[in-house]
Amino acid sequence: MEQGNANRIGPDSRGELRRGFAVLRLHLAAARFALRIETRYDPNQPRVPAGNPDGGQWTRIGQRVAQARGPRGTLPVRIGSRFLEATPGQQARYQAARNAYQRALREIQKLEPQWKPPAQLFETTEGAIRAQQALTQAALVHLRQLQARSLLPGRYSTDSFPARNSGFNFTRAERDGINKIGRRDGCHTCGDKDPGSRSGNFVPDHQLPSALNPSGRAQRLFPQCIRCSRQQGGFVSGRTKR
Amino acid sequence: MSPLADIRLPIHNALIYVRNTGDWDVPAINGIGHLWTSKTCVAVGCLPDIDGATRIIVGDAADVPRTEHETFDGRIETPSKFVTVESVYDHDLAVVTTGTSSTRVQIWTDGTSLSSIIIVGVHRHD
Repeated sequence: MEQGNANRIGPDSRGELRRGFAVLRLHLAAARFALRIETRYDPNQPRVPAGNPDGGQWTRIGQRVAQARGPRGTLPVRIGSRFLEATPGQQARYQAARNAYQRALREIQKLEPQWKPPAQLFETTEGAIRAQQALTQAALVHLRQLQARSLLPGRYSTDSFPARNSGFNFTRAERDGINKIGRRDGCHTCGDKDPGSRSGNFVPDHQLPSALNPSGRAQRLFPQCIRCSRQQGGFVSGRTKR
Repeated sequence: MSPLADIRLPIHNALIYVRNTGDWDVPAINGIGHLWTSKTCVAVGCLPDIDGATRIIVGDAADVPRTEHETFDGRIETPSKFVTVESVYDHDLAVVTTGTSSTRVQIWTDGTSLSSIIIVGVHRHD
């Protein structure tokens, strides 16, 4: 018991120890500062992730390269104007959505060159994928609307003929060809194999519709039923009315 | 008196519009039936061009011939005090002065949705 008492620290010793620790902390901070000055070391500086040729190397802050903390197997991918970490699976999902979007947009812009879906905001890679999928969905919905209004080749379009001009003076061969496609595959807009006409002929429908093709782009002829032809007439008039 | 217009034309999209001259609203045409209306327009289905020409007669209601199939008898708003008859691609087949901002219009057809005759009778100053 006496020995135990000999090891006890008195109030004076405690004060000395506190001072000693304070001095040590000061030295440590000075050493860290000196190390940064000498080596430009920054524990928060990002590194190029594994999988890159420069994997593990420090990168400059502000170079918009992926953060070192990304999960293994990810790569920095440029999405819009940003670089985000993405796994190969995420890259594939993003690219699939992007390809579908661009296909739909190309079709829409034949009729509406200025059309764009509403912009999307995102922060993360998954957010970027969902944003791209939302853009694709918006483009596909708009494309389906235009197709349902016969303002673009419809969902049931298969074969077609090049149109000689934008007029409605069709040759016998053109009429027979359109009827053949129509009886086999139906109206290009609704798929109905009954044209609804007195003669049993399908309407050779210009795509783009002649009234909506002021620049004279090459048109093609698709088979169309009377109901869809009338519906198309209403939508064309809505866009061209004086 | 004779009608103001009596013409035969192949009509693409198989539609004839009877509407206010100037500003007008295209009726919602869904392809079902053969008559669609808005406040300023009546759209009536006719023979499609692939089946031949449609005869279109336009004039004062008292002057035009009639069939036994009256398809429409009603009023459209005509703030311009003129009525235009046209198709999707053939504009101004006929323009009739009405003198009133609401015009009674009567339309007769052959009774089918692919009518080969469209008769438009306009009640002027009525």
